[in-house]
Amino acid sequence: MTFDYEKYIRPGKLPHIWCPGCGHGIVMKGLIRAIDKCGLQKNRTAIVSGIGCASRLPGYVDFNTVHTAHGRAAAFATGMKMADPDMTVICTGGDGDGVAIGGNHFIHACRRNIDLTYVIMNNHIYGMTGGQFSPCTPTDAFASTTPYGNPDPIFDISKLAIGAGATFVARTTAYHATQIDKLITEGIKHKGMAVIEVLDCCPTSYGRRNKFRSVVEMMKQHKDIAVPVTAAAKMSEEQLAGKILTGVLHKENKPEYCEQYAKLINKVQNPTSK
Amino acid sequence: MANEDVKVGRQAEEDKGALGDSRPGTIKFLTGLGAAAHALRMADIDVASSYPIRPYTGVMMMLSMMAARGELDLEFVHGEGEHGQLGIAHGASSAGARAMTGSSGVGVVYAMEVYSPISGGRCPVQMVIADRTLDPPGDFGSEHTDALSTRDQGWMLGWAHTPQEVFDNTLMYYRIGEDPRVYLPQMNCQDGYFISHIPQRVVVPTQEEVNSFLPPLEFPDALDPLNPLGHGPQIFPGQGHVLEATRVNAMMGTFPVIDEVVNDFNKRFGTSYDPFVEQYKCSDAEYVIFISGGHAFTGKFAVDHMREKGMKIGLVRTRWVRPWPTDYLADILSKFKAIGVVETNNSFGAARQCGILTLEVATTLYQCDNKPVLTAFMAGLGGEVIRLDEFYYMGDVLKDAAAKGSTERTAYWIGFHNV
Ligand SMILES: Cc1ncc(C[n+]2csc(CCOP(=O)(O)OP(=O)(O)O)c2C)c(N)n1
Ligand code: SF4
Repeated sequence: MTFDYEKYIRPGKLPHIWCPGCGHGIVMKGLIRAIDKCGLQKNRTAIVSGIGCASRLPGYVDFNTVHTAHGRAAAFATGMKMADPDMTVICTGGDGDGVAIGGNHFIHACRRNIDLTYVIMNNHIYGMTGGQFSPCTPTDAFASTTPYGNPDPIFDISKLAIGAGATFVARTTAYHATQIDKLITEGIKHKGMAVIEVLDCCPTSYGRRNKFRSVVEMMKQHKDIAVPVTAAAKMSEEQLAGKILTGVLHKENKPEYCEQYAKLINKVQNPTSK
Repeated sequence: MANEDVKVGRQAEEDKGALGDSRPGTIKFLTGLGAAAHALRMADIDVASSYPIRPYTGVMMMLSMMAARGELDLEFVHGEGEHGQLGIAHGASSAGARAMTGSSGVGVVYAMEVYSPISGGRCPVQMVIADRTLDPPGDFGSEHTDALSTRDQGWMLGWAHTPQEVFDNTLMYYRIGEDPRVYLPQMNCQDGYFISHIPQRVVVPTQEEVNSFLPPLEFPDALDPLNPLGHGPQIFPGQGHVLEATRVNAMMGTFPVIDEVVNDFNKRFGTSYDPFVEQYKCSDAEYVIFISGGHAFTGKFAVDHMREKGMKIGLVRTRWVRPWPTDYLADILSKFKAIGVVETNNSFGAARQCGILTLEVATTLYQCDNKPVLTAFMAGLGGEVIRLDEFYYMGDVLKDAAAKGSTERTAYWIGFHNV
């Protein structure tokens, strides 16, 4: 039986604004399948984004959705989750939104290990504003503001999340469509900050400038460089050069922020109880 | 309607003999952003700090291309958000560079914290603003509330109404802001889309002419490893008022400098800018539209049309919001019977339910013996075009106000009250 996406799409909201070949739609479908698998209630689920092409996602899906300010998704979601800890809160957005202008909120959400699921669509560029370089634009790559190639080193989003304290970190690509929903499902079920980085393609603002002749070529590159973490364990350093690891990169159990906060309140209000 | 407006715009320019019609130079067809980029190139800026946001962002794309093609020796730095972007510009300027930055809408206000330290440090950074409506919701249209929100931060602040004026202001603002009697940062504003994205004829002078008008920046307080000094110290409250008074004095001291620089510009480049306030068909006017920015273009055409019908209407366009040219405006405005301020901005809950400019105009008139009837026209909000028929409506309200000595409302919402 084919999956009924329309059940989760806001009536009248399609067609979407994304360009033909943009990977954001693949991620949206993955997210919908994951939500379906987890059996989440529409009115008990919130999807929060910042601003950008990726951040348009919440507008299309039929949950409690908020399109906040550029970079503010994690901060907004933190407030929401603290006010209603039983709500499932999911953040979606781009690399520019999440780790450039919103980088500070992102790392602090990771540090607190608050129970959010953050799906970050890393297309290596500020897509919406016309292809300026972001902190995830590879060194030497071309952007509208790096006509001679990008001199900056990049942020590795997954490593950043692990380093900052997120307790579930996974990575996949828009090519690996079926893995997207598996990883998001695991992230939603995980208690604590879950970051799912999806390497995504922006043919309009990134592909065009970087000599990808088609989206298929961009996807193929993702396919070629992706190595599952399990397989990587058996590979040499040379074999891994230029590759990226996919799958669950990090998972640990640590106290979750809302629970710790509730415990503190309980302790202060009931000093004698244990 | 859109097509008609374009035609109207060019027509209006020709009627007036266009700013600088007779001036020598190369003629280019440039948008407001293109005009800013070319002027910045000719101003030989040293550092540009960027963060993308529509509609201003094109200026950064053009500058990065100019730098890549070797047309401009520029350090191009990308912030990780506007807050960092302004920090970069501040640092560059403190180190003695001619620095520029820019933004639009929410980007302008996201950097709010950094404006006062820049003006307090007396760093003559220039910021190109292409106005955009603030959130929520996401709206790309032009509204001036973004830049007007920074009016209390010690920056010079003014609007151009054509790409030519953007070009010219860029050069004039640097020279004013970098004058040793001033040392203040400047916001060089243009309406998003209406000016930033619509190409018009721009006369571009030669590099030699620009060089002789705008000498290289000399900033005696620049950080220098051989002569170390500290910027941004912590002070005691008792020292605060002295520093603030110094900054106020610097701002008030811009008046003679603006006058001098604009007149020098006119002399060199054959232009006819009024240093502070443009008066259009005002000599025998009984009532006027007061305006700032790009909609003045349509406004002038509307005034022509209303004049043909025998109405004694004019248009007053301020070229500055900071410093606010109080005395000039008091002289000009107190002559009229009625004034309608076009507010392409909003200040929710302000006195008389008007916008930001009316507050300033009302304060200006308070010192005058003759107090014209004053009302606000909240128009172009959300970036909507202000149509000719809407200007005609304003004209009718003002004519009536001049005859009766009063208006029905302190603020008319165009799009509601005129329908
Ligand atoms: C404070 C602020 N600055 C700048 C912008 C302009 N802006 C809108 S989307 C965007 C970048 C989006 O890039 P990314 O998050 O990587 O998502 P993509 O569009 O590539 O999916 C920017 C800079 C804004 N909306 N708010
Ligand atoms: S510009 Fe890029 S990120 Fe935005 S919709 Fe188009 S392809 Fe997608």
